[in-house]
Amino acid sequence: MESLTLNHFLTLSAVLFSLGVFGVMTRRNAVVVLMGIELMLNSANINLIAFSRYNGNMDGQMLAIFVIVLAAAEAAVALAIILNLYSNYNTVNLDEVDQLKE
Amino acid sequence: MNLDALITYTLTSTALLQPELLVAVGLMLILVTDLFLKKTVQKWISVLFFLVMGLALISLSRQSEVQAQVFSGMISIDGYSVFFKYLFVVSALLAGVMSLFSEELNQNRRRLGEYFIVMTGMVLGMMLMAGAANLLMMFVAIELVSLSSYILVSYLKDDKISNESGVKYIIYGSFSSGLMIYGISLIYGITGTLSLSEMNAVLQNPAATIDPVTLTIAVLLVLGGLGYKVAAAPFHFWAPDAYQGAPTPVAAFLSVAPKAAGFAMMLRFFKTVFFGSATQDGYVPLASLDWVSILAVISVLTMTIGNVTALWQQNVKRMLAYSSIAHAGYILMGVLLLSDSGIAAMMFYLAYYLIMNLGAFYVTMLLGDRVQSYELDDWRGLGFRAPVLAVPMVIFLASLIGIPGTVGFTGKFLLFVAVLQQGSLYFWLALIAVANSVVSAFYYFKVAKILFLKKSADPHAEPVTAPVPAVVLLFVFAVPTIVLGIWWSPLYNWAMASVRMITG
Repeated sequence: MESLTLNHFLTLSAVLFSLGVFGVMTRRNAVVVLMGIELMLNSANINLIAFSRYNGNMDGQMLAIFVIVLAAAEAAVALAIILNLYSNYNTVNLDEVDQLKE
Repeated sequence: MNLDALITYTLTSTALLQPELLVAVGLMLILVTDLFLKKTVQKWISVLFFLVMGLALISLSRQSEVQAQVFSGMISIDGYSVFFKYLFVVSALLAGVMSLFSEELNQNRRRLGEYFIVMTGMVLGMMLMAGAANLLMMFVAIELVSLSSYILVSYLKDDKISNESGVKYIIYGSFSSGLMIYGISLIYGITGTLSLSEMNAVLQNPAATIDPVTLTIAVLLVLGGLGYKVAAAPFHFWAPDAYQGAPTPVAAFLSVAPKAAGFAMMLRFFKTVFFGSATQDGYVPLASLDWVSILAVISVLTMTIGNVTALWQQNVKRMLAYSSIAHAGYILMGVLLLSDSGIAAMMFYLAYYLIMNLGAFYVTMLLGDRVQSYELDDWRGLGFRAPVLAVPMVIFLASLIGIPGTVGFTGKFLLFVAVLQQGSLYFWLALIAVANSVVSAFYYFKVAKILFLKKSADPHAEPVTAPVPAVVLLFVFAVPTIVLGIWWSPLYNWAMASVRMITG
């Protein structure tokens, strides 16, 4: 059986990243958009850890830990803002939140 | 390294980072004090904020002689970063005073404690951004600034517009930090290191085989994160919405300080990683990546989009947002020049841009609070109702255009000279920038015209006044805008001296 190589991980992370970008671009529900962003951040984590193993130093894993922490902080702030949005607009659909225009 | 040496090293590093630590400790102090203050006296929390910022200024003056890399190359301390740290602390001080006069922020006895806590956090993040010499530090610092600004933008919790702008801001923001971290992971994969100076060594090594396409894609992704911070095209879409919805002091602060931090970081990133060697007044870029052309295109796009879209804005805050996008385009020219004079011109530009743009936003805030509207139509004839406020506004607008006699002219002049010094190759860039300045005159003058040349809808409207301390602060902005226009050499020399001290 063929063993796992760096390329497998890179492909996985590229697919995840594209799915994340796709989610952010197409979804209109603010919470689902946030999930897309989480996918993007975590695809970078896979990259970092795979490269860390490949390059033979710990820098990548260290950064990945920071990214996890920051992603959690970002989700906390974003969810708080979205919760507030819901209490003001009674919706989390981004298309219906459109008071600011050109 | 054995344990004793490690401890000594950490302590030495800590001692060198005094201003940052002061701000961090101040942040916790404000947080704890705010918990114990009664709601009626909580406005006094601002005193603590000013105290922390003042102390940070004093300790910065002691840091300016230092030139070191601390915490195993995570943070560089050099004249360049100290110059920017001064900008951040001063703009935080000024924006803090502005917030005290803002009616949006003080109505309904809103708690200002959180406001100043988050603002302190933002200052800390920006100080780290200016010094970050490692991709890890860069990402953590930029996120600290971003997270703080999301909270500040949506600070008016019961205000629909503020809330909407917060949501848009955080979605654009986290999207671009997602792009940036993916780019960072690719760069790490290519070079095998996160330290900027080691990266430079890898790129310079002729034996290393680096795929230029992958490198370009990775750098473009990182540029996405940085470009979002400075509101450069095509990552500028958040700026108009965020500035319009945010409380005006926050919009003012966002338009100057994080922008300066973004430029500080962008320049350090490119200058440390992609330069081969330095010549008399220029640097030789490494051939692996043509980032100069990339930045030139972004610069032209940014200034053109900003200026042209600003032409038909009816909301003053939105117009100022597009104007700040346009100015980011001008400043980008300084980044891509590969010369000391270009970088110094950029730093000079950012320093005085702080004063005049905060000033313009400040008048906007005072007038907007009193008229209860930021729409230009409601501002007709306001110049005669509030001459004390409107005359300085014209000064700021003139400076934003770059009329001779104001600091805006001096800054643009220095920048264009730096561009032309680089030879005819950049001639078209200077030409486009000059054409853009002409276009910008239309919308800046439109505001002045509406203030002074249009009749107010209601002929018996009351005169508009502001409290005396608020007017005094106005002069703090207006006087340097004129004085620096004539007596600019000390600031420029300081910027020039700081450029020479950039360490890898």
